[in-house]
Amino acid sequence: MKLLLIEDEHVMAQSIIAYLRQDGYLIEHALNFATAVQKIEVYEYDCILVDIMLPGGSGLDLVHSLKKQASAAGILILSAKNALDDRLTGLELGADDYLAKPFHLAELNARIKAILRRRQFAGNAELSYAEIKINPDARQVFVLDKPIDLTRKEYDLLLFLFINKNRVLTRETIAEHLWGDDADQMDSFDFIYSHIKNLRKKLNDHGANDYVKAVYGVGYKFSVNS
Amino acid sequence: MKLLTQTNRRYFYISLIALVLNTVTLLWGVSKLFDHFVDERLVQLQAEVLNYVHRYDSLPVFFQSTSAKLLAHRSVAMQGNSFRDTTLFNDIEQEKEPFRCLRFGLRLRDENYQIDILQSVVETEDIVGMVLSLNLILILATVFGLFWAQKKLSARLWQPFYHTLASLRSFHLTQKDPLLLAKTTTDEFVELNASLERLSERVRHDYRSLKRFTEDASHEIQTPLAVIRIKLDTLLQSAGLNEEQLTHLHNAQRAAARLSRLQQNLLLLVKIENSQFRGQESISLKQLIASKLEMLEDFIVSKNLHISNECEDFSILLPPFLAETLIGNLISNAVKHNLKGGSIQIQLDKSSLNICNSSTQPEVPPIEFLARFRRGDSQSEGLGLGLAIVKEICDQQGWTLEVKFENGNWTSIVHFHSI
Repeated sequence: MKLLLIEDEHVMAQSIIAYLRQDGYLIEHALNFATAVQKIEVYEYDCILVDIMLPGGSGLDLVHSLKKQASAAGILILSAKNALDDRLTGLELGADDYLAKPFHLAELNARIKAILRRRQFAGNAELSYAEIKINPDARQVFVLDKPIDLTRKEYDLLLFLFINKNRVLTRETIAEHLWGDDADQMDSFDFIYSHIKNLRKKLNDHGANDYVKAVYGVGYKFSVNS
Repeated sequence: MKLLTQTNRRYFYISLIALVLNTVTLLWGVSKLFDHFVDERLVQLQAEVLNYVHRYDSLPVFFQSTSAKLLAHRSVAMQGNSFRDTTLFNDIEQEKEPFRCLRFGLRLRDENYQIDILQSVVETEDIVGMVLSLNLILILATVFGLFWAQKKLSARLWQPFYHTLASLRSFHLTQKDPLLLAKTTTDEFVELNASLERLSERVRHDYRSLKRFTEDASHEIQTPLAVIRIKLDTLLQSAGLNEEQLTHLHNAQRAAARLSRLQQNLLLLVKIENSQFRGQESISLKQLIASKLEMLEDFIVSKNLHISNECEDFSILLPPFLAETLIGNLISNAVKHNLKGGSIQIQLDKSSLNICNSSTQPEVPPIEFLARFRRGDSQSEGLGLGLAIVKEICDQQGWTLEVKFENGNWTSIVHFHSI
C-alpha cells in the first residue's frame, strides 16, 4: 500500500510515518503545496492524507484537482478542529473522511484502514489473524470460522484493537474512538473495562487465544507475536 | 431620586426659609414705618395739647381734628416723653382695640399731670395684614411658577444627557461600530460625550487586542501541542517500557489532551463571539438530544441514571455546530455532574429547553458557573468552559440561560425568546 502524507509540520509527519510504516505501508511525504502537486501528478497512491493549511496553497485545492484527475486514491483530510467549513467543503469535494487535529495515531490508522478497505476491495475485505476473522461490512466476527455474537460496542472495540495490533491504546484513545470527542472528559471509564471483559470472555469461550491484554492501568493492546 | 426632584426639594426648603425671613422682615419694617408715622402724629398732637395748655391754661378735653383720645391724671413726678403700645376697650364694638400711646408730664396751675395721648392703630394693623398676605401670595405664585417652568425647561435641557444615557445602555464592547452620541450644543454635554467616546474607543481597542491575543495564542499553541501529543503517542508504543514509565507517559498524555481541549474551547469561544459560525440550518433539537443521549448511553448506564425525556419536535434555525455544542455541553454536564442512581429530566418546548439533574450541592452559587474556568470542584477533570460556551451561544442568539440549584437538583434552562 502506498500512501502520501501532505503535512507541513515536519516533526509531526515523522511520527505519523513511523507509526504507519510498522503496518507495512510505503509512505511518501510532501512538506508543501508545490511538492504535493508534483507528486500527485506523477505517482499513483492508494490513499492521500492531506492537511488543509499548507505553505503555498490549500489542501482543498489538492482534493479538487485529485477528483478532476479521477484519481482512484482515497482521501483523508487532516485539519484543525472546529474548522467546520473545511470539513463540509472537503467532503463535498469528494474526500473520503475528515480527521480533526490533534488526533491519536491509532485513530488515524483506523480511518486509513477503513478508507483503503472501502476503496481497494469494494467493501469485501476480510481482516484476519490466526483464528480470528473480521468482516467489516457485515460487522461480523468469526473465531475458528464460527460466528460470534458481539454487541455494537464490543465489535467496534475489537476492530479498533485489531487494526492497531501490538500498539498500546490508552483508555482515552479508546473512549474517544467509541464515544466521540467529549467522552474523554467523563469522570469514569469503568464501562470500557466491562466491555473489554465481556469481549475477552466471548473470544475465549469460542476458543480464541487471549490477545487483548491490559497495559498497567494505562490501556489495552491486541498483543500478537510478530 | 431624580436630580430635578433633588434640586427642587432644596429650592423648596430655601424658598420656605426665605419666605419666613421675608415675612418677618416685612412685618417688622412695615410696623416700624407705621409706628413712626403714628409717633410723629402723636408728637404733633402733643404740641397741640401743649399749645392749648399754654393758651388757655387748662387741658383740652378732646381733639377736634382726630380720633385720638386724651387722658390726664394728676401725678407726683414730672415725666419725659415715652411711647408705648396699649389696648383700650371699645364700648361700641365690645372688644379691645390696639392703641399707640404717648405719655408725657405737664405742669399746670402748679400741679403735675401725666398726659396720655392715644391713637388707634386698628387700621394700621389691617394694612400690615393686607401687605403681608399680598406678599405671601406673590411669593408663592413666583415659587410655583418657577418650579413649573424649571420642570418644563430641564426636560428639554437634559435631553442630550438622556440620549447619551440610552446610547451607553445599549453599548456593547463587542459591537462593531464605535459609540456614537447625539450632537448637542451644551458645553458640559459636549465635553461629557467627547470623553465618553474617547473612553469607549480606548476600552474597545483594549478589548480587541486582548481578544486578538487570546485568538493568536490559541492558534500558536495548536501545532506544538499536536506535536507533543503525537510524540507522546509514539513514545507510548516503544517496546520495553516499565509500569512507572508508562504511567508517567499516560499522565503527560492526559495533561496534553486537556490542554488541547482547553485550546479548542477557547478558540470556539472566540469564534462564537466573533459570530464566525454562519449558515443557519433548520435543526430539530429533539433529534440532537436523542442522539446525544444515545452516544452517552454507556455513561448513563454505568451511573445508573434515570432519564425522563419530554421533547416537542420542532425546527429551529441555528448553525449546526452551535446546536450540537449547545445540546452536547448541557447534556454531558447533566450526566457528568450527576449522582450514582440519579436522574435527568429533559423538557423541550417552543419557549424553552429545561434540563434538570440530581447533583451535589455546588460550592458556589450556580450563576457563577456561567463565568469561564469555574468548576464545581478543583479536582474535576472538566475545564470549566462548558457552561460559558453555552452562555455565549445563548447570548449570540438572543436567548437567556438560567441556572439554579434547588432541592438537590441542578437545572439549566434556555429560554428561546425569538421563536
